[in-house]
Amino acid sequence: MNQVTIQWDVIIALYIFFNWCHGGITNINCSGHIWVEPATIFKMGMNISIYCQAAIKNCQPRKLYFYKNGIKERFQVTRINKTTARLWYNNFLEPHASMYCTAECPRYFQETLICGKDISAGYPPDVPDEVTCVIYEYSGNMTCTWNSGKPTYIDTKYVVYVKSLETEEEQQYLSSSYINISTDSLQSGKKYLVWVQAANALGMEKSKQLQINLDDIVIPSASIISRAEFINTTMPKTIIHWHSQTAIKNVSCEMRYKATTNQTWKVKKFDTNFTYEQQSEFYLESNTNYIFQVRCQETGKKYWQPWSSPFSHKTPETVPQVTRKSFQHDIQNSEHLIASIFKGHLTSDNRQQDIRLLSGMVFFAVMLSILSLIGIFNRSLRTRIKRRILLLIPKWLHEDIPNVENSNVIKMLQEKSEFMNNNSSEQVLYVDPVITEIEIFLPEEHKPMDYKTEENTGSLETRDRQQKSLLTNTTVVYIPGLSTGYKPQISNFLTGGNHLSKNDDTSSSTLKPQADSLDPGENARFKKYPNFAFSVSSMNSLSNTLFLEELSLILNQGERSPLDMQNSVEGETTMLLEDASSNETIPEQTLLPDEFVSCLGAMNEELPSINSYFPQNILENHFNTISLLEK
Amino acid sequence: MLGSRTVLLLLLLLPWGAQTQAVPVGGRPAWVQGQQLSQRLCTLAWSAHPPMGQVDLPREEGDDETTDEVPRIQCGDGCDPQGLRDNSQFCLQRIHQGLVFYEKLLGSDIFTGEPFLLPDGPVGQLHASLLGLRQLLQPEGHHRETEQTPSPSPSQPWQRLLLRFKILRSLQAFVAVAARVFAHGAATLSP
Repeated sequence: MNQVTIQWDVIIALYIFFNWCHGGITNINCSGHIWVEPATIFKMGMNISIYCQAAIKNCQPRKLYFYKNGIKERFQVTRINKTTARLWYNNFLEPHASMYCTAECPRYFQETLICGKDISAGYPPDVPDEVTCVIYEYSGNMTCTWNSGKPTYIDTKYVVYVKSLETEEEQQYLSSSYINISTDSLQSGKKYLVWVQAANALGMEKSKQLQINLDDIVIPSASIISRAEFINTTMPKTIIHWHSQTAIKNVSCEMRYKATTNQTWKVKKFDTNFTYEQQSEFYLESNTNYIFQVRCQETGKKYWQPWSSPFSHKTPETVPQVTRKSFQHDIQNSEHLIASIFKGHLTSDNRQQDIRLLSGMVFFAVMLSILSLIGIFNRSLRTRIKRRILLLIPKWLHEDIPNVENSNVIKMLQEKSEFMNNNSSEQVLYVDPVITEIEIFLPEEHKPMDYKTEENTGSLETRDRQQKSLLTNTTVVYIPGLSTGYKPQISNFLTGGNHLSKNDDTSSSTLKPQADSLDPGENARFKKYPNFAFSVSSMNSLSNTLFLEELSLILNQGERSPLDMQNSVEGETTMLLEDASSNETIPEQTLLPDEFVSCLGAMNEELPSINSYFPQNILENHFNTISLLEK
Repeated sequence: MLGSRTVLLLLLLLPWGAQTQAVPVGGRPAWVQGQQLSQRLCTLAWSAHPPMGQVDLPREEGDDETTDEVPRIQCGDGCDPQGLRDNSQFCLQRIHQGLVFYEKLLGSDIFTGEPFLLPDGPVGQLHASLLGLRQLLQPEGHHRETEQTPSPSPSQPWQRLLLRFKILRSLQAFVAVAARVFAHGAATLSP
């Protein structure tokens, strides 16, 4: 059963392939011949001629046309005879070009293809030089490379010849740019001659012969820098750890390093034994980015490893001793030193400085305390000092502060207070106001419903009235609270039911009343709110502010807020996009005339046409017609 | 005698027998999705090779006489409204067959070789979209036809210029009809 299935599949595949080979859509039928002189591959800059000879049945070509990369060539075309034409190029400099030619036949409006050809211009190869063969440890290959010289632009092959000096046996390896030759194939001794031959359609060149000894061309296994370590001693140093898997005992290595801001490499050399991990010490500038690379070779041999991949390391910040040394040489470093000391980095030296500073401060504090004690306990001394000071300074400066006896305001207050408190047993000449609540003076008829009357003492009420009389032109009173910090500002509510709307002008200094006193219908324009950041009441006001913001958004629906505008714009954009998409023409709908798809033209009818079909062939003919008409 | 006749008959039926193996069987066609994909294919096919391109495709001698085996949607494929209403599978199979054919061509050296096209250019997008529509019509596990379809013979760069033109023009006609089929299916046959 399986065999039958396999045979069936093979038959199917063959049949499809057979069909495919005859399919005109994947093949080009030539009706003539095209050739290039001197050749299809020629030296760049040459003059060339391209000939086209038609061999079309029942066609005497009226004209012959040449196309280069699909573009018709209108100049330098010469008709040689009835069936042949020539296209001439002077100093042709294009590496590649696709040419084909066509004929204009009497019976056909469309040009008839004759044939085509690809042409190439390039250079003969340069002599390969710098031939190098190395064996990377553990690779099992001898890798040979060379310098090919300038690009040839055309297909160029390189053949590597390896000839044993001991057995004269010669091997050849074809390549394009380099070659890996297995060391297993190099069994004819250890000494060889190697050379490279380059060849293309335009020429051939051979390199000099290189004599090699397989023992001398081994490159140790790659060296890798694994980590960097910073040792903070009196002379801070950086230790670079690196290693290699090489089995070669005598290895010479180089490590180069430089600051990233610098262009010059510094190189340290080592004779190394890779039994253990290698550690190399460097005394580097602080707070600087460095790059390290390492490479090795077998001691006394010719070829080095390539430099290892860059290892980046930044030295720690602030090492005062080192920077102090560099201060003598470099102004920039001195700036860095100063900056680093003030940063107070916790190094041992900084600690010493800190101790000195601390001890000084303690000493100063102790001395100050002693002097103060002397001053306190020695009354005569204190009195003497006071007298001296009083003599020196002006009189108004040593009055009691605040000395408000001479103030007109206080005098008036005192008079009123005496008048009001004749019966009072506790006569208070003046008390610094200690008021814990906000009181708003309103005419009785406009007092808000939830307004809470303060339970103040009579003296306080009296004082409030005095304040009212004093502050008739003031809209705001700051009253210190007892425990809750500052109270919010109190505004003088103006008379009239629509007080909030009138507060527009002074809104920056007005207190927003309780939220439930707001009448949304009357306060649609209320937008500015006092900014209170402290106390519980201020928190309430903040929440109310947020509430009002929301309310404002709701109430201002008549106006278009920026958000609304944005949404609106987005909506319009969406609509436009929808319109665009809805108006987008569907290619197959527009490109297919209905007469060519008559069966679909009747798709919504109950009974399809008897002749309904999908004539794709007609479509293709239609496309041909379109192309011809456009031409 | 009977055996040779049977073989001959089988050979004649082979193209269709082979192609019906990899087309969707059963299940409701995703007309709307197919409509979207086929419309996109149409757009891409025309943008990949606009009719006013620089290359004028010459006729080839013998084109009139020979018939190629390029899959075309023909009268008997059941792609007319009545055929779609009766059994849309035949038409969808034909479309699937064509998609497989063109997908292979778009991935061949005709389009991937020199002169190179941009990988994310119209042809690359066309190839990806065509793959999408082909996968929509092909249930999972049916890959035999794709594997069996041979690659076209290697072409030379000068031939590719002309072959691309021919293939894209043929594809334009194919996807135009396919798009109309899906448009009709989405309008009348989708639930």
